[in-house]
Amino acid sequence: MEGYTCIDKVESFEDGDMDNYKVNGYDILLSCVSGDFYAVEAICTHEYAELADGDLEDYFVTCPLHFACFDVRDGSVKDPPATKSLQTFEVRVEDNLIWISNSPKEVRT
Amino acid sequence: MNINEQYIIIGAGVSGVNAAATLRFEGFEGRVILIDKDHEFPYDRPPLSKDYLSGKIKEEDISLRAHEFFEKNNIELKLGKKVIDIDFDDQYIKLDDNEVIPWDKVLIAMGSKLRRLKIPGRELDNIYYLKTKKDAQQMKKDLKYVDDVVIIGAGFIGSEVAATCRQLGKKVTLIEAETVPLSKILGDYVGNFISDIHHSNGVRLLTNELVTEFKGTKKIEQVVTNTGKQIECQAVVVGVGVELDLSLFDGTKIKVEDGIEVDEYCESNIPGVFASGDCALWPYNGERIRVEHWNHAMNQGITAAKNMMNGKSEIYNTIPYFWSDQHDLKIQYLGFSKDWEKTVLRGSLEKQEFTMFYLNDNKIVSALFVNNPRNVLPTRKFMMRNTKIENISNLADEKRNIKKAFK
Repeated sequence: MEGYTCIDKVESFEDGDMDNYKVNGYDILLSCVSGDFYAVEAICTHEYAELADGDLEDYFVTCPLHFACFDVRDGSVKDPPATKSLQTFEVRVEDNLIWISNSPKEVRT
Repeated sequence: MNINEQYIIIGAGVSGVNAAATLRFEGFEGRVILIDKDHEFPYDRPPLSKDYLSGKIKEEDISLRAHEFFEKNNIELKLGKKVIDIDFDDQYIKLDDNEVIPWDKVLIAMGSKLRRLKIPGRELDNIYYLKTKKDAQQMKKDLKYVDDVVIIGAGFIGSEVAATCRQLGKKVTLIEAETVPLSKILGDYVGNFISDIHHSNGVRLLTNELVTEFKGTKKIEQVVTNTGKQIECQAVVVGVGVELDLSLFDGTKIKVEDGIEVDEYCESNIPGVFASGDCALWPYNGERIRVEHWNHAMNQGITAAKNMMNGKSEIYNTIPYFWSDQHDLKIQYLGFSKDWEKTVLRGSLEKQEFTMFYLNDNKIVSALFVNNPRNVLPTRKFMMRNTKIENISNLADEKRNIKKAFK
């Protein structure tokens, strides 16, 4: 799949799981919510911390360092101290394989 | 609705700035005036003892908000202005340039000030108190010409500055009045672990020592302790805690104890007058406490702002939390406890990766995380539920998922 990188099999994930991947130099957090996959940048936009060490509840990932919270669907900030959204990456599933886009969906504003 | 109202926030630290931002995000349309005695554009304090002091990050990296944020959101900043009078009957404040500003509601988020050592020689140069950006800038500049630094107080700030000074290649002596650093909140076991970390990172830690005198001609040359130790140095950093300056409220009707007393809505005994952050004394688990941490300041400011706008609409109910980075340790701490019945260790001190739970009556009253961020949020969730742990030994069992231990 051009412009995408295959990272794992669908069955490696259960609902509520999240894990880190490196795609085209980007650190990406992949989460699985209600059978769907969402990819966002893996590091909190407020201060350096890996979101994978945090908590995923429903569509919301909370950072373990200062508890900033983001929506994994669009990267938007739900709770401070973060003020910048996370970059998001397109995810595709084909033949039970998960593919993540090599570049973010749009430039963050 | 409140378009004609005028809200004043005293203090543009993390509490005040977040309160002002919240008022706008939540749709407050009246005037918002944010006042601080500091001349600097609102900045974040935690990096001052760490990456800002070491030079890893620059000035623009420690702004609490981008400069244009305040203008865009119509938040009026009055910097370098001190509030010298507040009238709760006629509802106005007076600034040190004699400007008088009326208010409909006010949030007091004035923070705290550093406790100073009142010992002989305190007027010497190169004795630093690290509170403001200016303090950090001055220290950073002067430290270049210094080889030996004495840090007084092995609390979190003192420990962080010690670690930063080691990174900068200084010889560091850390002096602590207690027998074991941080033992009051972490216990001796973890306190000794922290001591070992200092030793292994080349910090000379002296405990059970009180500094009694500073000696030198113009600049500091020597620190003298109660047991007669004389430590040569060219700079001293003092980190012996904070105190409040609430003299502004002397003789007024606002209720002040060790802090401004507020209810669970962050409102004081005077309707329309709120307090948040370091200077607020607030209800937590059946007592009134004061918390001097960053997350608390931010969150209480946010809740206060919502209640300013919408009456008593949101209860402030959170687990106190702080973090500290020193040497290679990422330390995080949840809760508030002066004493505990037992502790449970999960992980290994040798590997420098563990969580220590502090329990009373089988409830977690606090928890310390060292290089162990994954355990923070499950623990926090559990503490919010305020329930007893059924099987305490599960907590220590690393093979068992921590979330399951809390089930």
